[in-house]
Order: sequence, then structure tokens, then C-alpha cells
Amino acid sequence: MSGLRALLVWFALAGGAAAADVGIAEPWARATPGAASNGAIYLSLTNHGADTAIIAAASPAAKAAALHGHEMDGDMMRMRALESVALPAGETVTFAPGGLHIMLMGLAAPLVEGESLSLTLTFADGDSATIRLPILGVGAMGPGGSHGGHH
Amino acid sequence: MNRIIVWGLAFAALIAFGLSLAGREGMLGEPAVQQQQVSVGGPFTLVRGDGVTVTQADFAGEHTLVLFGYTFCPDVCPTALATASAALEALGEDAEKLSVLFVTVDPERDTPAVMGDYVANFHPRVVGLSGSAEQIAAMAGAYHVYYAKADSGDTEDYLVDHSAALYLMGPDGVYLANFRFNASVEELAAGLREHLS
Repeated sequence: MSGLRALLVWFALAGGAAAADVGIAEPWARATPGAASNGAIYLSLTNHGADTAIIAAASPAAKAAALHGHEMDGDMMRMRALESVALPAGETVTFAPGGLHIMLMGLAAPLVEGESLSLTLTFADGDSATIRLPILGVGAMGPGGSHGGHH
Repeated sequence: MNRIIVWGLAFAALIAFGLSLAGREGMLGEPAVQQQQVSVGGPFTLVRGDGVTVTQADFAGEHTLVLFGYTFCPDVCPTALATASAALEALGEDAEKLSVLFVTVDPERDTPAVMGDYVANFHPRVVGLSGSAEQIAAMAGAYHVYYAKADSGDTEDYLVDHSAALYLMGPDGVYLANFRFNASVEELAAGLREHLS
């Protein structure tokens, strides 16, 4: 676990720089089990500049990437593709398990814990940021996570 | 991606059920006032990861936390299971009084073996259950759980929309409470502890 933590620190530093005055923190993807062809990426975005939005995501690891939220309908949960995710000036928007996430669709290969992948985010002004992010366990809830890791 | 378009009586029933639940106890574990209004749960026959067929009798005498999902589910299911796992850790010895039953709504892809491998990522008290399409439909029906393949235009790469609550059942199999899939670990652990201790 300490090795993993060191790796995460490295990734967090590596992932810290972004275009458009948007800071990206704690990016990670969840490992996918078996033949699952969809994966999820989480991160936190802090906008130090003027109002903007994420309008697209892409990764060489998957055929397509989409911005997703959830829609509750009674206790029925439905994932919903979003055209964009607003990043108001001065605010932090968090993509976290059970909420906003970037869904990878049509994975070229399973996302394996301990490996990493590349993600490009495109902002409303046309700027983009490419980061590498670590793949955590299927049961992970985040880089600082106290849970997961029942192997 | 298209959103789910398959609506049906099951869904209507679920909405009615959800409203009745929300109306009487919110989503967090207060003892239900009018518990007999809708019956949740019941006998089941499903297949464990090692291929052994199990029924409600195998869990008699312990509490069960029942949730439905599927292994290809990228966000909701692992979130719910990771939360349940952390709550089990938080419960300490009380966790031994509880099994978490993760029932697939995608038996086509989630064979018993696939489910068994999947739940190995979580707390040892999490049991992965599959079965025939009929067995799964019966289990889901007993819990008033709706599920349907989302229309993604790709027959092999589909998502399954499904109800995302966790149902706590007593040692006698009677429904006690339900929790949101995205409840915090603290909320879930507190709600469970209330019934376990």
C-alpha cells in the first residue's frame, strides 16, 4: 500500500498542470473486471481563471469517452451523458464515485490496477489538457481511499 | 448514447414502491411505520461463485444486505460495494452477522464464476450471486427491482439500468431498511449498526 501511495503522489504531481488555468487533482481510473468494456475516471478540477467548461474527453485507452452524471428516478439510477460540465470561475468541480465521472467506452484492453492511462480534456475555449492517471483497484474509492484492497 | 427507453409496468410499480418508501422512512433506516404496506424480499434460489446453488435458507439467522447490479457497471455498482465493504470494516465483529448479497441483473455475462471473481475485490462478507434468467427475474421481482438493458446501439457493449438501493433484511428474511447506493460509509455503517447490535 505504501508503494501505491508513493506512486499516487507521483501521479498527482505529474497530473497537476493543465491548460486554461484549470488545476487537475487526484485523477484516477477504476480497474475493470474481466471482459468489461466500460471504465470510469474520476478527478477534481479547480478553475483559477474565468468561467469555462469541459466539453469533451478522450483517451487512447478507449474508443470513446463521455462526461456522465447520474439521474435519480425514484430509487432507479440512470447514467446520463452530459454535453458539457461547467467549471465556474474560482470553483472546484469533483468527479467522484457515484456522481460525475468520465466514462470510457469500448476499452481496448481491461484497465489493470497499477498501470496508468492517458486522458485529454477539452475546454470550452478550445484549450486542452492531457494527463496520465493511475489505475486503482476495482474496489477503490479514490487515491486517498481507506477502502478497497480486499484481495 | 441513448438513454433507456424501456418502460414498463415493473417500472411503474417501482416508482410507486419508491414513493411509498420515501414517504414512510426516507432512505435511511428508520424503522418503517407501515412496513406491511409493500413486501420486499422473499425466498430465492441463486448460484454462488463456486457454482453452489443457494437459497434464503443458507442465510437464515444472519442479516443480509441485498443489492442488484452487474460487473460491467463502471461506477454505481463498485461504488456501492466499496462503500458496503468499508462499512463492514467499520462494523468490526458485527460484520460477522451480515452477508452482503450482490445479485447480478446481467446473468448473460455475469456467470456465477464471473461474479465470484468480481466480489473478491471487496470485503469477504460480500457474496456474488448469479443464476438463470428466470431465477434472477424472480429475485428482482421479489425486491421490486427494475432492470433493463440500456439502448446503446451495441448489442455486446451494453449497460444495464437498474435500481440502486441496498436492502437490509433481518435474520428472518424480513425487510428492515434501505440505503442509497451513494450513502456515505458512516451513514451506512450507522444504519447497519442500529439493526445489528
